[in-house]
Amino acid sequence: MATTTANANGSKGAELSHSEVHYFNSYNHHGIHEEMLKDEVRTRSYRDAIYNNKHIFKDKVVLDHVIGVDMSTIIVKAKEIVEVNGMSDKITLLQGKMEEVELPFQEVDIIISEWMGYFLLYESMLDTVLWARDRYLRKDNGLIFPDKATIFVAGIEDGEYKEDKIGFWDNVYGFNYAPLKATALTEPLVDTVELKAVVTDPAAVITLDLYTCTTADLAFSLPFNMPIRRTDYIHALVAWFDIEFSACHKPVRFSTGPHTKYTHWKQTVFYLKDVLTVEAGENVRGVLGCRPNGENRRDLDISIEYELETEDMGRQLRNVCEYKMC
Amino acid sequence: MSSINSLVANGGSSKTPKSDDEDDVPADLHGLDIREDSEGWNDIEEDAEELTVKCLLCDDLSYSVSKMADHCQREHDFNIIALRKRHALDFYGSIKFVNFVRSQAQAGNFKPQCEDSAAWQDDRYLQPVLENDAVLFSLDELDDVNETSLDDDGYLSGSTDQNEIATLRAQISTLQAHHDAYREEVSKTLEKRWTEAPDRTTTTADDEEIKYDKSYFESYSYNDIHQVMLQDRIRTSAYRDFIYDNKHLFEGKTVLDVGCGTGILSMFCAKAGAKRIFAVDNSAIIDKARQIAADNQLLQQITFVRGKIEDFQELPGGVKEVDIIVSEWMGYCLFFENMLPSVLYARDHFMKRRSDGSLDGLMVPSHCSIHIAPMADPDWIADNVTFWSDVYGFDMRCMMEGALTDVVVQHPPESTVAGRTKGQLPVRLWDLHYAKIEDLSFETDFVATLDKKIDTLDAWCIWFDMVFSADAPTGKGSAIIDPMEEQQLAKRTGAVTFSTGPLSMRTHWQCGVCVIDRKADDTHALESGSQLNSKLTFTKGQESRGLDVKINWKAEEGDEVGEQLWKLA
Repeated sequence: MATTTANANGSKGAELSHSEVHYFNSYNHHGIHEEMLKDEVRTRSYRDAIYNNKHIFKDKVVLDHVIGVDMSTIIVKAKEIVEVNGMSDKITLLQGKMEEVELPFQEVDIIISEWMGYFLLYESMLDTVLWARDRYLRKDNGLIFPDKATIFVAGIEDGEYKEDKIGFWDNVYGFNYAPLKATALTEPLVDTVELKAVVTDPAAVITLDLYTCTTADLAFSLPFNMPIRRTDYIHALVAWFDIEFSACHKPVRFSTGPHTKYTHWKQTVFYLKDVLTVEAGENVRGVLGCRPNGENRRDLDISIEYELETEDMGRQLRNVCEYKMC
Repeated sequence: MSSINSLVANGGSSKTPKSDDEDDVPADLHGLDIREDSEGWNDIEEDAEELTVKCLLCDDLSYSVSKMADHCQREHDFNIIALRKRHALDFYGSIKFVNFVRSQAQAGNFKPQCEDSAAWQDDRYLQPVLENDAVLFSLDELDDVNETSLDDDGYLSGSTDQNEIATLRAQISTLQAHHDAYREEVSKTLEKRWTEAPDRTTTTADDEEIKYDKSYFESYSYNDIHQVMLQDRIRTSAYRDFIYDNKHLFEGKTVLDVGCGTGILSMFCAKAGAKRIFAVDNSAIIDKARQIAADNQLLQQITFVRGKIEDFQELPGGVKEVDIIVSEWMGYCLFFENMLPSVLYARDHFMKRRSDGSLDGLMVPSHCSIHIAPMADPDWIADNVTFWSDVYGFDMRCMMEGALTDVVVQHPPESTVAGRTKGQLPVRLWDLHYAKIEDLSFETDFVATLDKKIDTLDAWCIWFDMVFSADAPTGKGSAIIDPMEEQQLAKRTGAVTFSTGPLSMRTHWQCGVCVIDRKADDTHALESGSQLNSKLTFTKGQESRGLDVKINWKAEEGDEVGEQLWKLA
């Protein structure tokens, strides 16, 4: 069967797959940049990490500071901004995919990147950062800002909101919308969770060390334990991440959890098929599985196994739920 | 709506809301277009070509192979399916058989002798008798088609299950035929292209439009957008109330739902007593809609068909006329997404007509209008425009552009509306029984009067109202009617109306805000009672589903004057 013109010309990297075009195009619009820039926790952390550690940055070659790379056309605006602020001699901006651009230097001293997506890994920009590390970061004393990322989970009571989001489909103007309810359960929700909804202790599931991790580490299946803090119900799991810039003289950290100030990442909520009835002192044991989707690497396939450890036979429960973030 | 942008939007209904909005509809989209929310595109795009299957024995055209087989049996007493089975024809055998029959018909023999398969053994029958013969592309599905019989109404006889199965099979075979015909076309076209113009690597404007359209339909296949629309109570209740309050209009009638989505409007019509409903949509959501109707025991009344209404010669079962067309086609600023032309097409091709050619059916909704009002909103300007002047000490003013050249989709607070048109009338009002595509692009003068003193005219706010009239058209009417009529129509028996304006409760359409691009020193205070002599122009955008808005204004007194173009893309 004939193929489309995408492959007809045969030149390397000339054509983006359609899902990639969509991904990069979504960053053209100024709205998303406004949101990220207005996220004070995010932007201030990066600023503090850099400004408070000028001694580390002086006269170094930095990928994403002195050399800036972006595939999205926002880089045209970035060039204008750099120009207007009189920094064109110190900053070189290149449009293209990291894996394809020609850098003016063979090696850099520092890599800076804001690559984190919802649930840390949605959008999988981390692959690109790791690739840049392997290709361009000097092997001795090269630095990465930030360098550590940890994913946490906890159980939450979210009955009212679950009713709004999921229960809504039971009765839509008198009609049973079961097929759409089934889909709704598989879609993780990005939203702000209040601290008072959290019923368990937080559990750290995975810490990524950007100096050493590989793309293989981004597909994982790891266990966790969530000790129950108070007698209540658990309708969902909430997930968030913490970021650390440990290269700093005084390490800079920020968290995106329900216990901290708002960030544009909010938190990610996974509704469970069941409602767990739990008592203080009990434990929910689980396994979090995550891997990039086979068809579109920027989407995530997630699975959550959970088991309520309790002596009450009537409340014992275990199950597995699958989700797709796209 | 499932991309990162839609996740941002959906996060709005949080417990610690960032926006000022009180109600529970998810946060606005900041003017993001629908296109951005689609997932990856497949490499092969759907072609808009129609499928025509010519009968083996005469010139009759059907839109599917199975329909052609039915026709052959009814009209010529020639049972293709049975003959294939009897002779156990494989792929090449079937090709030869088809070509043999066609060549017999061409030679004048309309009752070819098919008892002995030796008649078509010769290899010359591998050569297609008919160029682009759709039957040859769809041979494998002839295996699936049962021998069906039609009753006098043209409906498939038999039990409900059989009806359902037959309808589904017909749809599958249509789709298969479309797909196979298209693959063949692509292969031929590309071969031609590569041999004739080897340097051609760029895509044409047409290709871009097809690609964009595909992602347009894909964006409607996810849950989120349908949840947003269904949870928009003002929107959904208006349709429900009109349909349920006017059951007499629907009882026993045939209805066409254009762009049915999850099928909610069709289900309302079914509950109101409509006899037969055809629900059409080109997005994959229609498969869920079919399931939902089945779960609610409404599949007997509602037939779901996937496709573009422009591609249909007739509706399933050979139906060519309907009594009512129901559709929720409205986009931002009414015409964004450009879906109305599809509804008008459906009206022109499928609505019942009187002997004098006039429309003899009902459009639901029946009328739509555009409103515009001047706005003063210094807070918004500070947060969204001036914000860029100093971002962590850097001058980022070049980012302002987007906020000033795009129509911003948001529901502004009532307090920002600084005036109205006289009588609060719309600037344009259409009757959808008579409107044509040309009528949707327009230029109209209007006068806005301020009802309070303002420091600066910051923006214009555009929104639309809808009217559902229970009065069937008389046959004498016009596409564009006097704006004063809107209030009259609303008062009539059975009528339902709703507004999407800043003074009404927020809907998922919100409003279109056109922010004025003015120099810092070019501000003019205006007194209460000031008059702005203005003009509003709507034209179709460069993107096929986009919209261009131009506004001219001049204060009756003073120096305030301007002309600006905004895009909704």
